[in-house]
Amino acid sequence: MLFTSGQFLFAFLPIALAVFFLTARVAGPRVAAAWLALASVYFYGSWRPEYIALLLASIAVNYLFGYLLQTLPAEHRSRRKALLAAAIAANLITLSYYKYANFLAGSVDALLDTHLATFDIVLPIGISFFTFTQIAYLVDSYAGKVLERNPIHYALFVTYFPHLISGPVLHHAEMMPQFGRLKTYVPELKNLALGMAFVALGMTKKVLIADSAAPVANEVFGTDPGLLSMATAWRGTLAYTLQIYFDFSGYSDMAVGLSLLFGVRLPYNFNSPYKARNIIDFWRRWHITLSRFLRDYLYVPLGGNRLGSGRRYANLVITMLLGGLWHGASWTFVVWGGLHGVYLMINHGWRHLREGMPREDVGAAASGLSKVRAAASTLLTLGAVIIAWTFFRADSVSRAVHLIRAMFTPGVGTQSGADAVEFAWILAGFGVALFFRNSQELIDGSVDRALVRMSSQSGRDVVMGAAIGASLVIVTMLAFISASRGVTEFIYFNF
Amino acid sequence: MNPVSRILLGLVSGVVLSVLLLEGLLWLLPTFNGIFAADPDPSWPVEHLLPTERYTYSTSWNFRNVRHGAINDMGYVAPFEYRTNHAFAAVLGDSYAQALMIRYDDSVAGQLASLSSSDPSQVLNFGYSGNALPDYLGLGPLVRERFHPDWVVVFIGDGDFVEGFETAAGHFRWNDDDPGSVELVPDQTERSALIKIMRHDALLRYLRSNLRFTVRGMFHSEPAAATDSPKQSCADVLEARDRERITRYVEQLPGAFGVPAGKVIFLRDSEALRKGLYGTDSSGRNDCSQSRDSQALELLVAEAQRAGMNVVDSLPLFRSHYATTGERVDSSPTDWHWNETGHKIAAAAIHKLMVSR
Repeated sequence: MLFTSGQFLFAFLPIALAVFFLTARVAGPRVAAAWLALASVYFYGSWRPEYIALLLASIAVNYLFGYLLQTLPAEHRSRRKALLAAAIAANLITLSYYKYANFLAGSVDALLDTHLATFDIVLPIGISFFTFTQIAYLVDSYAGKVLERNPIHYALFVTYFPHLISGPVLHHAEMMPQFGRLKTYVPELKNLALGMAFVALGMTKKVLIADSAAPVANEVFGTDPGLLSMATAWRGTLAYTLQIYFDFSGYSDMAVGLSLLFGVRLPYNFNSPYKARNIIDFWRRWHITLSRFLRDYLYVPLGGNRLGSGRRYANLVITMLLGGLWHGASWTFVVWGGLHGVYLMINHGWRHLREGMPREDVGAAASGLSKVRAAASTLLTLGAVIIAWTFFRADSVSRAVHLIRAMFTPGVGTQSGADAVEFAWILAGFGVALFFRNSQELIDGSVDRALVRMSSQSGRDVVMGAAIGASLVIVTMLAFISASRGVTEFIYFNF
Repeated sequence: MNPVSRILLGLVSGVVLSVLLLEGLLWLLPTFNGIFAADPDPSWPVEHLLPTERYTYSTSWNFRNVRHGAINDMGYVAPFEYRTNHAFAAVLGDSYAQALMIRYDDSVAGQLASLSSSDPSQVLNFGYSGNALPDYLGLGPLVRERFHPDWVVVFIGDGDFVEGFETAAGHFRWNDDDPGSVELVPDQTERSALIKIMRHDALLRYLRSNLRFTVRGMFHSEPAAATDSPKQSCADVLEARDRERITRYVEQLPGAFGVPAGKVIFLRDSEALRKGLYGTDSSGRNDCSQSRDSQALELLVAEAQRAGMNVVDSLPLFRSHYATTGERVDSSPTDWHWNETGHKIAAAAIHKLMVSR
């Protein structure tokens, strides 16, 4: 069941929402939370029912490990450490089996010509997300940072349908307290209005921009690389750069909005990443919750920047390589992660060098120059990101290399490039990404402030009702448009 | 007013205003318009379009391939009335011949007139979306009686045989009792006043025609291409009655139009085989080369040639064009109907054949 499908929007969501608030009123918050967890499991099972058992087993085992880590006295340090290691190993082994077994077998086979058999495994949807959120829970249980251990809230934290399939990568500390709060279980008009606005905006990004860019990217990345002309290669990579941003940020907006309908705040996952002035800035804006997870549970435990600059750079590259591998079992993701690791190294190195340089003059000329420099920095960052996306999207490293070569070699290939109209659409998409305010700035900023400024409560009720009505029409139309093309998956469903 | 009433008032206002805004916007944009089935007409009992209309054709949510054109007073896509009583050629077929997605002058019918230097109104296009083999045989006497054509050009493509068993009102179908004949499924449905009013609603037209909205499609969350079921099984075989149908069809067709066998030209196309030209099957449909339908069409081609009729096979022509120019002959992958180039190549081949005869 996809967020943009009729089944989800017109059947699952209204039923889940209505029963949630009704149950909370009639039978209390615990039953409502249990209902939401149950509905979320149904949502997960609508994709592949056979993996419900895996999800539930993962929740049960991790909750049990977490409970033991929380209750075992601190003086049993070695036992607690062993328990944590066993719990993390169990998660990683499960993840590796489903996600990386064939990749490992294929890589060993390619290196040693061993003719290893491949496994007939279908990747359970969302396994990377629910594994990571639970590892964080285990680590924090070990560190004594887990304050709430209500099993229903834990199950709901893991299964909660707005994030289960493609994130954001949630932290128990920001979710479980919300499930324990009575206010969550009482419908609030403002949450419904802002939530619907997030859903409408996210769906607009997905259906109108990402799904329109997808066929262009698919065509170019599916073409024999030898035929690609410079214009065609740029057309494909630019289209994919747009597609992945609007697809994933659209999904994340929808997740934030859907969750807000239930009175639960999810963290933002994007903050206009293509406006970033450098790669460090980019990773503070792109897939924010994954960056946060990798920083807190990988980069920092590896030593972070505490062990000297050489070790810091090594830690950065290791973190990004594993971050790349998290996205998928393929060398293309490893190269993508590695490239970003190198970008980050260069960025940190450059920053270190600049620290020793004298500060520039201030004044009008300097201000003009700094604007040009800022624009150049943004373009350079975006260029580096685009090159890395080529590896992320391509079927193989060699295909990505061919494509990049075509991007910078005039006169190659036989395929004609895009027509002017198509390029205009692509540029317009970049215009939106680079110059428009993002979803949270619009909805949690402008719209929310406008509502707060309204002096009359009755006027506020009418306006919020109207906003919900308008969002319903927009979402319905977008669902019709999405269905007309055959509903397309979100890219991050594959991770 | 209590809070619930205020919220409901706001909600309804929001919905109504948004719908009105959409309606206004779609009026301004090139939304599909003017292409509607006509009410039953005893003097021309086959399904045709609402006559004497200007139309706007566009596809998809973002109004791709916008075309404007005219529907004549017989309800066919042509910028002139069918007044002749001795036509140079009658062109029959389904949506490929109707060719809403290109300019009339670029269609096979338009180009045939141009290539043969005849008055454009001497080539009559009876293409209609949804037509199949029985329709062409059934239309024969109607066309002969009014227009006495010298040549008959019949488009045949995938599905044309098996679709002949369907029971769409206003279309001919294979007679179940007599394999050698076709029967008209009478169209007795007068479109209600409400339907006629709804045709003016841009939002409804957009949903129905641009988005091809169906409730089933709405609740089908799997990617469409992966779940499209083929119309037939590849394991289907041609039955003896099917063979008899085809044989007798071929025997009857020239007489139905009042032309000699040598003046009938079948224009053969296969969407499934055309996909192979580009080395892709973007639609994901499970087309099979040996289905009951394709076997029937193969038999039709063989029987027609044996009876002295002409067959233009578009596939080798398209293959050669694509191999030399890299230019597609259709608007694939979004639309597999022929584009201007496809029509031009087909028209040139037909004209060459006419000249040689």
